[in-house]
Amino acid sequence: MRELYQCSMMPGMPAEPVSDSRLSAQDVMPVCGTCQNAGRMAAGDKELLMRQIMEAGFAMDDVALFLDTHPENQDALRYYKTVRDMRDQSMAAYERRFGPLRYTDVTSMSWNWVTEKWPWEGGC
Amino acid sequence: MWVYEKRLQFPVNIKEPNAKMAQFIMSQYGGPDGEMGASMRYLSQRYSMPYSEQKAVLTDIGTEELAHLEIVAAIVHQLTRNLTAEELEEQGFGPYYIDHATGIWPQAAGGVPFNACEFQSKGDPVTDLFEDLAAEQKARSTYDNILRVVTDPDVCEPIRFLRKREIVHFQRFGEALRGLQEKLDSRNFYAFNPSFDPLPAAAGNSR
Repeated sequence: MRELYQCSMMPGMPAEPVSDSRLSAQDVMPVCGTCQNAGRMAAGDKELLMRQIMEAGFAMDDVALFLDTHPENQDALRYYKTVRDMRDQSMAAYERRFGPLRYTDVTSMSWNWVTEKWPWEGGC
Repeated sequence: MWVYEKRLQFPVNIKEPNAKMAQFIMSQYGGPDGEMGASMRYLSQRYSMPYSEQKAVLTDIGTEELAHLEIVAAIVHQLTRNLTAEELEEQGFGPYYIDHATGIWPQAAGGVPFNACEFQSKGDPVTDLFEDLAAEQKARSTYDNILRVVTDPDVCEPIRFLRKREIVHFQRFGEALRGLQEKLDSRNFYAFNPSFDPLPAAAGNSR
C-alpha cells in the first residue's frame, strides 16, 4: 500500500504544489506582535518574508525526514521540490533587502553578516 | 559539514522574563532527555548503521535536534534577559547565577551537569534504534511536564512545537527500525550484530 505524505504540522496541507505559502501554515507560525503593529513599513515586510522562510523551511525539514524512510514516494518528492523552491525564493528576497542568512550569501561591499540581529535575540 | 542559517526553526519572542521557568526549561538543553543528548546520540550513532536509510534518518534528525538546541537556548536566554541579581535570586535562579550569571550552560533542571552517559552509541543498530525511540518519548514526556507548569503563551508555543517534533521523530525512527529489520534475519533479529559480525551472504547487503 502506498503511504501518503501529509505535512505533520499542517495536516490540511496537501502533498501537491501550493501557490501561496502565506495561506498554508498560519496556525503553525505565529506572527510577531511588534511587527504586526508596524503596519506596512519595511519591518512588516521583513517579518512576512521571514515567516515565509520559516514555513517553507519547516515543510522542507518535515518532508525530508519522510523521504528518508520513503525514498520512492513520488508525491512527497514533488512536495519537497515545491517547498524547497518556495524557501529559496523567500530567502533570496529576504537576503536582497535585509542581509544574509548564510555567510555564503554576503554580497555587499561590507561584511554585513555581523551587523544584523542574531536569531536568539527575538523580535524580527 | 554543516552550514548555519541565521534564523530559528520556530520563532521565540518572549516579552516577560521568568527565571523560574528558565530553570525548568534548561533541562531540555543539557538535561537527561534534552536536545544536546539527542543531537549527540543520533549524530554519533550514524557511523555504525549498515544501511543508507538509517544513516539518513540519524543525520537529518540529529541535525534538526541542533536547531532545537538553539530554540531551547533562545527560550532560556530570553526568560533571563535584563533581570537583576536580586530578581534572579528571588525567582529561584540564585545557584545557577552564581556559576554562570545568565550564560547558557548545559545542565538538568536540578543542576546536574550534562554528561555523555545520558545517551548511548552501542555500535549495534537494533539496540541504538530502540534507544532512539525511547529517547523521543522521554523528551516528549519532559515537554509535557514543562507544559503543565508554563502559562505564558510566548513560551508555550515553541515548547508545543518541540513536543510535536518528538512525536514525528518517533514515527520516523519506527520506520527506520522496521526497514532495518526487514533486511535482517526475520526469525532472529539478534542473531548477529550487522555492524560488527560478518554478514551472512544470504542477507544480500549493500553497505
